[in-house]
Amino acid sequence: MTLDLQTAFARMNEYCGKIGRPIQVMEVCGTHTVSIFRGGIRTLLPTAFKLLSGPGCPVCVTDQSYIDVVLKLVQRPDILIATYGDMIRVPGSAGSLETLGIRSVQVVVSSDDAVQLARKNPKKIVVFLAVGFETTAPATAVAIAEAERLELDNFCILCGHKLVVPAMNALLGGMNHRIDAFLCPGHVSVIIGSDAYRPVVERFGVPCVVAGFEPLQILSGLAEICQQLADKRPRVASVYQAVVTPQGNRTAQNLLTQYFEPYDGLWRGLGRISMGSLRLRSEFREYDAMARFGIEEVPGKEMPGCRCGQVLCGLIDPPECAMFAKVCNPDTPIGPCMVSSEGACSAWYKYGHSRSNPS
Amino acid sequence: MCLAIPARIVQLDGDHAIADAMGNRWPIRTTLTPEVRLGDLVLVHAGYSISTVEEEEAKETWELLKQIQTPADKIPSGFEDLPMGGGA
Ligand code: SF4
Repeated sequence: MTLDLQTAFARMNEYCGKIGRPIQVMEVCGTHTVSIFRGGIRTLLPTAFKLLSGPGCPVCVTDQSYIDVVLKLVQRPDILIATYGDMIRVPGSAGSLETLGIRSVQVVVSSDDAVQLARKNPKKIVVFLAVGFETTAPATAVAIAEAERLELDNFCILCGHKLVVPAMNALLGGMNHRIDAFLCPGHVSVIIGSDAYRPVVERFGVPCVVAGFEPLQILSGLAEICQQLADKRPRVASVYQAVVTPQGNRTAQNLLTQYFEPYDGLWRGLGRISMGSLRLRSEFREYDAMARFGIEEVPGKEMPGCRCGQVLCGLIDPPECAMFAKVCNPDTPIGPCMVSSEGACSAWYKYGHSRSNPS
Repeated sequence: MCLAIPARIVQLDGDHAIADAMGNRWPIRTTLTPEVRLGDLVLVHAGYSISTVEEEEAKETWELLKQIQTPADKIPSGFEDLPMGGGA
C-alpha cells in the first residue's frame, strides 16, 4: 500500500526509534537510485537510516572483459554492433565504442530493432549487445525466436544478461557486507514475481520489499522495511501490487528458460557470481557470438584507482573514491558507475555530493 | 535501464502494436503479454510490454515523467531515453 508523505516519515522515525541502532538498506536498482536522489529522499531520512546503492545498473555490472570482446568484434569489417545507448560509453581496457570512434555501431531501442537491422543488412553479421536484468532478457529471447522464424543467419547476440537474486545472495554471503534489508526493483519484479525473493529472506533473514519508482512508493517501501526490522519479522512484501504479482510474468519466464541457462558469470566488481548470469542454451549456439567467433572470456583488468567494485557492493559511497568529481565526472568518466545515468557515481555527482546522507 | 513506462495500446495487429504515452507514439511488441487487447494500458520496457497496468498507476507515472521532463530541468537522468521504452 502506498502511504502519504507524512505517514511514511512518521512511521520511519517511529520504527527507527524502536530499532535503536543505525540501519543500512540497499536499493538494488539503478532506477531507484536516481529516483531517490531526484526526489530528495536522502536528505529527509531519519539519521539512523542509511541508503546504499547496489549493483542494479546493468551497464555498471557489465565486466570489462565484455567490452573488450566487443572491441575485438568491431575489428571485423563484416560485423555491425547493435546496442542500447548506454553501452557505447562504457570503457574497456583500450577505450569505449564512443571514444574510439567506432562507426560500425548502431544504437537501438529494442532487441526487435536489432533483428530488423540484420534483415536490412544481409551482407553484415549483426551482433546485438544483450545486456540487462530479467526485465530486458525476455526481449532478447523474443529476438532470437524471431531470428529463428525468419531463418536469419546473420544475427547473433553477445549475451551479458544478469540475474538480480543471485547478486543479492552473493552480497549477503560476502564477509563484510553491511546490508540490513533490500529495496527490490519494481520492474524486474514484474517479470520474476515477488516470490523470487523468498529464498533470500529465508536464508539470510533480511526484509525484501518491492517498490515502484514514484518517490511515495519508495518511501512506503522504506517504511515497510523499517517496520519489519523493528518487529524483527523479515518477509517479502510489495508496495507495488498494482503490477507486481507473487508469480510474475510466466510468458517471459518461460521464454527465459527456453532460450537461456544460468551460469557463474563475471560481474564487474563482484567477480563470478554463482548462477548470476545467463547464457544461451547449447541448442542456440549459432546465435551466440562467443561461440560463433570462437572468443574466450578473459577477465578484464579494472581501471587503476577506480573503486566501482566497492561502490556496487555498498561498501563505500562514491565520494569516498579519490577520483570522484576530481578526475572522474560524467563528461570524462573513469569507471562504469559514472558512465551510466543510473550508476551510483553519476547519481551522486549530479544530485548528491553536497547533500549526502549523514552516516 | 530497468524502467518501464505505462502506455496505451492504440493499434494492435498480432503482437505488433502502437503504444501511446502522453501523446508520444511508438511501435512496441506485445509478445510477453499475449493477453492484452486494444485500448489496454501496459508497462513498456525496451520496446516490449511486460504487464498490464491500472489507469491510476499509469497516470501517477505520467505525472512524474512530466515533472522530470520540464524544460527548466535539463539535468540528465536515468529517464532521459524515455519515452522510447527505457532502452538503456
Ligand atoms: S568515481 Fe569514477 S573512478 Fe571512482 S568509483 Fe566511481 S566511476 Fe570509479
